[in-house]
Parts: sequence; C-alpha cells; structure tokens
Amino acid sequence: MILIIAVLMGIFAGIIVPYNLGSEQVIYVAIGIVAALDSVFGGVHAHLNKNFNIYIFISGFFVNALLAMLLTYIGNMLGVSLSLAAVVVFGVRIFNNSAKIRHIILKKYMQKKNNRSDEGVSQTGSAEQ
Amino acid sequence: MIKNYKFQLSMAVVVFILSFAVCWQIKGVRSHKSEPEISARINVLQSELKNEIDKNSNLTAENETLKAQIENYRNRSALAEDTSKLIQTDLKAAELFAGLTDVVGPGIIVEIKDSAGVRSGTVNGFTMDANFGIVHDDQLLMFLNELRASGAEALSLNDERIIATSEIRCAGPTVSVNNTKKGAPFVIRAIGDPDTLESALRISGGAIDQVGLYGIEVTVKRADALNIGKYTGASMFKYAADASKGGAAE
Repeated sequence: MILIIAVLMGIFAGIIVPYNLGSEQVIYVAIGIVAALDSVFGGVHAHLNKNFNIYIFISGFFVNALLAMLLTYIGNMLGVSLSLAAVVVFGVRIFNNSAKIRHIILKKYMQKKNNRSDEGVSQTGSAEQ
Repeated sequence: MIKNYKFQLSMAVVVFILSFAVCWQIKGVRSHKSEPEISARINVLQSELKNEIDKNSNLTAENETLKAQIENYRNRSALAEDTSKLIQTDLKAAELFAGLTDVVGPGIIVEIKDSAGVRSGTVNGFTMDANFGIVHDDQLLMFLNELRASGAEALSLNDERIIATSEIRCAGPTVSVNNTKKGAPFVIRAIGDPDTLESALRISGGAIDQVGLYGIEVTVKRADALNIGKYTGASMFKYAADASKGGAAE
C-alpha cells in the first residue's frame, strides 16, 4: 500500500540527506515525533469512525508538533521538564487511540464472521423449508 | 477499510514526514551518544587531576629535600674550600719562608769587591799578601749574619738564594754557594727595612768597617722593589724526616 511506500521513502530520504541533527535540536525533534505519532493514530481512528476531516488532521499534526516543541523550549528556560507533560499526554492519547482502533477492527472482523455464519445458517434453513 | 483517497494521501504525506524525522532523530541520537562519555570522562579526569596534584606535591617535597642536601654539600665544600685555602696560605707562607718562591720587596743591594790593591799588591799603603785583599767566605758570612740580625727576610748572593741549607764556602779563588761557584764581585741582595739593614752594616766596627781594613770595597744601594729569585736547587731530605707524627723524639 501507499503507506508502506511512504514509510520506506521517508527512511530512505532520512538516510540520504547529509544533514545531522545538532545535540540541541535532538530534544525538540523527539517531542515533535511523539506529537506526530499521536495525530497519526488520531487520524486513523477518525477515519475508522467515518469522522475523518483532512483539515483537522493536517492542522492537528503540525500544531501539535509545534506546540510540543514550544512547551519543551519553555520548560528548558523555566528549568521545568514540560516535555514530560507532552510525552505523557501524547503517550496516553496514542494508547487510547490504538485501543479504540483495535476495538473497531475486531468488532468489524467479528461482525463479518457473524454475517458469514448467519448467511450460512439462513441458506441451510431455506434449503430445509 | 481504508478507501478514502483523501485519507490515504494525507496519511501518506504525514507518515513520510514522520519516518523522515524518525530517521534523522535516530542518526542524531547515535552521533551524540559519544557525548555522555565526555561527562563520564570528567570523573576520570578528576581522578587523574588528583593524582597529578598528589604527584606534584610529592615532587615538591622531594625537591625541598634535595635542595637542602645541596645546600648542605655546598656548605661543607665551602668549609673544605676554606680549609684548602688555609692550607694554600700556609703552604705559600712556608714556601716563602723556605725561600722556594721569588720574592719582591724593599731592601738593599750590597756590592763587595776585592780590594783594588789586590793586583797591585798594596792595600792601604801596606804591602800585603794577595790573599789578604780578596773577599773570603767568612766575610760574606759575616755580612749575611749582620743582615739577618737586622731583619733581612730574603737574601741572595750573586743571584743564589740563601736558604737554611745554603753553604758559602771557599773554593779556591771562588766561593761555592748552593753548590755553585761564584766569584768576585759579590752582590748580596737583602729584602728588609732598608734603613735598618744599611745602618746595621755601617755601624762603627761593623761588617763594612771590618772588611775595609783589608781594603775590600763595599757599596750599598737602596731599592724599593727588590727582586730576589727562588732557590733552584734540590730540596729532598735524605736524613731529616717529619717528627710531628708521633715519632720518637729524643
């Protein structure tokens, strides 16, 4: 699927580009990645719920990442690890979203299974009448 | 399930960016993994520094000890130097006293000539034996004795330094001094107080008067810086030995 291709291309591009992150920037990029992951999971969940809105998804992706970086920067200035808050929140949301996605997928799978067995039962039933 | 193309496209873009960032992040973290080692090295450096400081203080203490030792040796060698200087001074004084060095000082030059009448056979109007008018060893000895008695510190006869073992002895028509034959005129150089020396010779009835009876002519000259050469003969004793080292004295 296109997603897998996208992942592979991303990795490839990351290896190719010669720019190396400075030790300062590593912290911010880390928190940005966590925020991005959260918005990806949120987007998948919304799509499965037929609630997917492309604008919300894209804006959420960038805003979350930037907000997380900003929070980390302020935390560094204040001497408080605000990045911890971002990590906790995003982690919780990732687990929540992934759990919901799992439920939906499993329900759909089980419904499909039930439908098939129902159809089989009803067919044999009609055959008997 | 995942059919909506909008969803797929946007998700693909986001996932692309995400994987790109993850790749960078992993590279960055790996390249900066060496940095924690630097802070770990601080401990190593600290202990190394402490070691160096301890070594340094030990070396400083050793340096002090060695300096004190050197000072000690210097002091001892300076003492030894002084001792050797003392010995040197004593040696020089002894050599001076023994007549083994050239000396210079104020004094007189006494010239003693045979009587002019020796050739003519007449001395002071008296006809004399030729033997009479020449200078004899005992007369020279008298002169030397007089000069010594008046404080002469160095004496030489015809450039032969008179030392304790010097002989002045008749040897035919000449005189033997330090085993060297010397003839008239005789020149005695004496270093001492010129006034004392000259007046001692000139006292009435003194050396000059006595030899004057025989017509021997004596001239005395004064000098401010008289040079007298050193004794140049052998100085080995065959019989006399140092008696100061617990030798049996009789």
